[in-house]
Amino acid sequence: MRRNAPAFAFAATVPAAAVINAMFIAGAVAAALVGPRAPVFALSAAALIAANGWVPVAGMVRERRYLPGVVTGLLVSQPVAALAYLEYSRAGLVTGGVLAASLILGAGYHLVPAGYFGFRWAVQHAGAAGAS
Amino acid sequence: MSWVLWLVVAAAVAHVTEEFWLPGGFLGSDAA
Repeated sequence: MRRNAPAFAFAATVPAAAVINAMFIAGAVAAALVGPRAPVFALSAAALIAANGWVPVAGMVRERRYLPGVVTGLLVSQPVAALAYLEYSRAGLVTGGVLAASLILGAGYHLVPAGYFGFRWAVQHAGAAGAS
Repeated sequence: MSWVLWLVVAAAVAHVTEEFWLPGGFLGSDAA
């Protein structure tokens, strides 16, 4: 997290990482429990791991060295997410709307940590401006 | 049908493990 977004390293604390990743896992578990009863929500978990898998890859490209998360992001998250969409498609549960909504929702989950880091950044800069 | 979503859960756990807990990761021995 710190290497992926160095500008926000000050906010990447252990409690923040624990909460964000607990939400990540809990969301995936919730999607698995709901399953085909709510295909948009179920597949949004697949979209989430697919989108999240590219985050360390982008950092690796930027820094030109291995970053933790690259291996599973590419070799685990992408094929598993694709398999989930394939299985749901075989079951006739993937319409154009389900596909679009699940992809948007899965990518949109990243607004949660982005919002946290944006809030922390704003607070820090507001404090710095007030101190000067 | 739900089995594939448990694979998604396993993938998420594996990704978090690599990203945060292994050496070189956020909470690993070589934390940046």
